[in-house]
Amino acid sequence: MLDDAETRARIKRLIVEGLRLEGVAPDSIGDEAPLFGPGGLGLDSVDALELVVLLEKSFGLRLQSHEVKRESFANVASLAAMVRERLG
Amino acid sequence: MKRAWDFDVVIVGGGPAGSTAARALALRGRRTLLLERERFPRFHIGESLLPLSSEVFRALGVDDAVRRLGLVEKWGAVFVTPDGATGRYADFSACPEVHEPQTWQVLRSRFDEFLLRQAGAAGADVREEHRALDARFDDDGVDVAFEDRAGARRSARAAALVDASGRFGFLAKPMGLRRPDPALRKVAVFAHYEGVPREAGRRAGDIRILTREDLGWFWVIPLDAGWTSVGVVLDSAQWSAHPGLAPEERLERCIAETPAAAALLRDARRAGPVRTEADFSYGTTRYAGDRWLLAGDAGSFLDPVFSTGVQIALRSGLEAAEVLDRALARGRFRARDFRGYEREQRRRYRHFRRLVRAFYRPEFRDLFFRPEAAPRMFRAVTTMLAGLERPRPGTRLLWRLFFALVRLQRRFPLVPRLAAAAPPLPLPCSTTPRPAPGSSD
Amino acid sequence: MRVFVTGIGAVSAMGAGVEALRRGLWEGRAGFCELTVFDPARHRTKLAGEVEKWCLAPFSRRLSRSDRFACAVAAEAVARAAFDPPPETAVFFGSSTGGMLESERFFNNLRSGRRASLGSVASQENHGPGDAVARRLRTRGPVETIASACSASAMALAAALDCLRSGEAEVAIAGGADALCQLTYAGFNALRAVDEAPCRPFRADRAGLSIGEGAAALVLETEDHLRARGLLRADRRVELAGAGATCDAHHMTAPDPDGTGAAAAIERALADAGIGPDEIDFVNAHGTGTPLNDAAEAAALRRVFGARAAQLPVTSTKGAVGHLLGACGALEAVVTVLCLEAESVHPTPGGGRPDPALGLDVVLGAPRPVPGHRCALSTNFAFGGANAALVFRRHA
Repeated sequence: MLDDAETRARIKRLIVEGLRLEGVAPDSIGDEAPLFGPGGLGLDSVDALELVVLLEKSFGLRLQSHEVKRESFANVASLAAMVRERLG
Repeated sequence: MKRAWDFDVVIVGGGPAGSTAARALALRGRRTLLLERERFPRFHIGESLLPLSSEVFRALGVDDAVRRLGLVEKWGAVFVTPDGATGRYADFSACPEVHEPQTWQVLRSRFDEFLLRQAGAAGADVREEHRALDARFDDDGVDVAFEDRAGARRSARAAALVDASGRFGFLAKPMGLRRPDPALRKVAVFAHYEGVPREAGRRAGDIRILTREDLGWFWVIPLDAGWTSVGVVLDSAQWSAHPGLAPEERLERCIAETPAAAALLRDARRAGPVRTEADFSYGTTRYAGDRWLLAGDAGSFLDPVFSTGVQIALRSGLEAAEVLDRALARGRFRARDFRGYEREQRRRYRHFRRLVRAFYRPEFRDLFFRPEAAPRMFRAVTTMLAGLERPRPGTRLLWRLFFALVRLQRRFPLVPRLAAAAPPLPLPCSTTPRPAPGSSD
Repeated sequence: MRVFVTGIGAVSAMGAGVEALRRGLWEGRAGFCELTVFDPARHRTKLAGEVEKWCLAPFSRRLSRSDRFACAVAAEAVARAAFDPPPETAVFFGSSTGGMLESERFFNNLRSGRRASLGSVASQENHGPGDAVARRLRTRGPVETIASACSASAMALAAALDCLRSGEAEVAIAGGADALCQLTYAGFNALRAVDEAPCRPFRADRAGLSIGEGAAALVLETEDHLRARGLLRADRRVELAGAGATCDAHHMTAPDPDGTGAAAAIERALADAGIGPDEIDFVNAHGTGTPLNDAAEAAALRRVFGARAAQLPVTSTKGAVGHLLGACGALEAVVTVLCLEAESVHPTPGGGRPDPALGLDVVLGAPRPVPGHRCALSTNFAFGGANAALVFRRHA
């Protein structure tokens, strides 16, 4: 069972490698740093869809559409919390 | 009985200095290993070249390939007063001693990758995502330990090592060679923008240096594909005067308070993250030792203002390769065998440091921006700005005169000191004049 | 209402930027090497006019290779035009396969159980390049992509010409972009239309075409708009004087050997430009190097120019950079502009003597100076018979 720090680290790697962000090191992404929109990491709606698939595959989850909420995807910390909650 | 060498030379760092050294060595048939810790392409600052870079490209046999890159052509540098009212154009093509005045502005991610591949193409063993860990020297060689892509620890033995690891200072730092320059304590904040207007024709590729009242300054470098690099360089003291500002805010504030920058960037949009670099000016106590050389920023770095960084890196990379090739032929790798290299790097550092330090004096700007300044002297100064290090005697005399005048200006104002900020005037660069309604030809 | 070319941009096997293209062409070089953008092992031929990797500027990761080419050339064209395109600028682009390369990689990954990224195919369609250009330049005028294969970007230029003449816009950016992909590479190979060696247009022993990739863009402005910018009298301006388009109605891939459809397109372009065939000074031909195309094209030229065809300098840019498919019209238009500005026609690379049966004056070996020459014709004839011809005129 992954602890919180490992979950976050894995999510950061997913973001950088899975979304092919160039020149961004996974550990340079702050836990609370906004992922979407200007002023954040600059991800957009297509990235959000990709991230859902990446999370599902990496953590063995199934995310229903209604579960993909703006608040859960705000930053790495909220994503990690959602993943841990889904994994039980 | 020590192991035989796996390679003739190990180079740490795949930036311009390292790639140049690697390619030059490989072209001379030397077995070369280059360890680069990142995967290219990657961002790097230092986006303007000097005319004398072309000599290095020719020596490497890549000048044709460089032309195919479609880089922005740079023919000169424009220096602008804070209010934007006065500009002095250092036109490289006006200097008879600068045989190839045209050079380039470079998006380093693309350019550095290109150079790195050229090193590989010449036969160097280039390994990205390989992090050099340490180097152990003995009488017969050097063992370099490194971590490969998978994180496994490996090692390679060679006759000599080139530290081309830039600011990181793979050898320089642990050996305690680094000497920060107390006279140059600066901070730079920079980002890429879109929508920055350019001059027309050949002037479109100029680097623009917008000076500030507080002796700080902006660089505005047009890059390919419509991007423009914009950065502000401030004194550390200036920076500390407003602590706690986020880099984005700092940059925006500096732009807003410098009329020349505000006008130029009025319709511009930031197109990437804002980055900072601090205390980037340093020298070194030595550039060479037994079986090791420092090349490029690993040795010393002055200041971005005259775009000397990449130029120096290219030259020192080439010189390091040449001296190592000779050393391999003779089988001698002592520090004394690298004396010539040491002297040359030192001389180069002193030469450009004099110019950079002068730039940060108000007297320099008083003289530089004087409209009727002696054209021959200005041309001589431009020759220096183009990166020429060994001018004709006449030019050298003019350089000396110029620096003497800068010193003199401090005591006896030979020319009026530059006035305090006047009301902002339109910047002397072209933007499309929108025709007034109802106007005709 | 005259329409002028005020900016040009190009990327091809010769390198990034118009300067690299000019140097390569006028030095008589050809840019073909073994494919690296995908593995040529399964294909009948191995060579292509590939764009070197570091000639690609690092645009958004979401954009396809074709999109990146398009953005780069649009940026260069706009920079050379030395102005910010106004929001009402119209964009007309041509492409044959858009983001097909990325789609192929996506499906390969999917099939082999590797991660297939959604983001990588977000810009799959062939209107990707045109759209990417409009987004990047923040234009809000009409954006149209024309997909008529080898004549696509010539048609895009024609559409831009119409748009500007009608007053719908004052500024247009027209061009084309196509990246290498296995579909077209394999497709042309399946038809045995590809030469194993670099193509040799108009030669007696020509054996097929060479596939290339790249993009080109032209900024077009109306005379009024240029005047308002105060630029009408500066420099020598090249005008896009006329365009013509027809269809062969002959065969899915083979051109009409009589060249009647092609000739008609040329004649329409001449009429549109208000000139007769005698006023054309040289021709940038479609010149793919296939036995059929070159023969049909020569027939078309003889039809239009009569006996004069034997003295009309003809060149094929494809001998240098290959067939850029959807982008060749725009690239060859850019080259035509370069030839007019330089008063010189670049040579057609490739060895071998010209085919006497064609009856053409092909420029070989060295560039042919054409001092005082004012009007040029650029032709593009597509698979399926969509023919396009453009006429350019240089003003003093």
